[in-house]
Amino acid sequence: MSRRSTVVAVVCCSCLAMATIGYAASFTLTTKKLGAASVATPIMFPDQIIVGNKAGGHLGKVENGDIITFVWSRQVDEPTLCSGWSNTSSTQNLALQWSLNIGTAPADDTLTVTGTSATCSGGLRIGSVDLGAAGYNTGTGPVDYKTTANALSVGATTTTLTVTLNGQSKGASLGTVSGGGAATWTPDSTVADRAGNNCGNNLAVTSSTTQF
Amino acid sequence: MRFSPALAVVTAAMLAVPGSAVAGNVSSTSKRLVSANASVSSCGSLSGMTISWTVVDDVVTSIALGSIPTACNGSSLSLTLVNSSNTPVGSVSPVTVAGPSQTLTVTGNTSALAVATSYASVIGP
Repeated sequence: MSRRSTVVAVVCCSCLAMATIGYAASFTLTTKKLGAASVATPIMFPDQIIVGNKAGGHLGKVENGDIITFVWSRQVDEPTLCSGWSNTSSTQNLALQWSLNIGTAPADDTLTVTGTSATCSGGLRIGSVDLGAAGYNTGTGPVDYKTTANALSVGATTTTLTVTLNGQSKGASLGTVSGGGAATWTPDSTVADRAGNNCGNNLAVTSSTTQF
Repeated sequence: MRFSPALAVVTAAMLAVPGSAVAGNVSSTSKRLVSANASVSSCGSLSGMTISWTVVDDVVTSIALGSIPTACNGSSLSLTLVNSSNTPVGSVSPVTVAGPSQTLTVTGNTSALAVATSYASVIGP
């Protein structure tokens, strides 16, 4: 019986050796450069812009009552947006002129704050909105919305500014643009969150290609 | 049948080695093994790269990657966006680096507000 055990042991050792060989893997190094790292992503950025048509308004035409909504990703440091505003209040309201500026094709029309106010001595620093097409303003100069309402609401994590156009210039020459393209909001780099981060080169674009 | 100590020891050894459990179906495909050292280097500081993005209704649609080390030109670059739990929430298909800045298209429906950081990897050339 001892001889039989010896034979079994030899066979089993062979099995183990074969198993080990079976696990041999091939590895071919084809590159000499490898790298990985974490890269910081934006903290403060324009998160949304919505250009809406007022109820019953003409789609594609800039009119009193049309609403533009801007959302920042963080709580804005309010004085960077308007020098006279304070973070002690989570809401602000200000009537201030916006203008619809002519862009001669291929340049697009733009929308900017052009009014001045003692409250916002350095202006209301929204930035600018490229409307994605020319043809909204068909006149020879800017169309002003002198008494536009600007309502700021600072939430728990984000900030929303709701702009309702009003006080449109008399005799404004306006066109209707359908499917002209998405609007792009380029925020003012002065505006920062409460940790001092600004919007950098980040952009927000509308999902709709017909504005107002 | 008489008890055999030697057989018992061998059988126990087989059971103790996990690999032996599959030995029956494993074939030997290689009889040669070799090891060596090969130097692998980084093409630069990837953590120094900058990210700006474009969002549509809070969804990240494209990323402008800047300050890409010039030594990475020709490499395949991938980027993964993760949330605060380090769970991937968006990614960029591998692109070949062609210069110090690159515009990348983000796949998936990634909420910009949900992104906490990103991880970049570079392979080659």
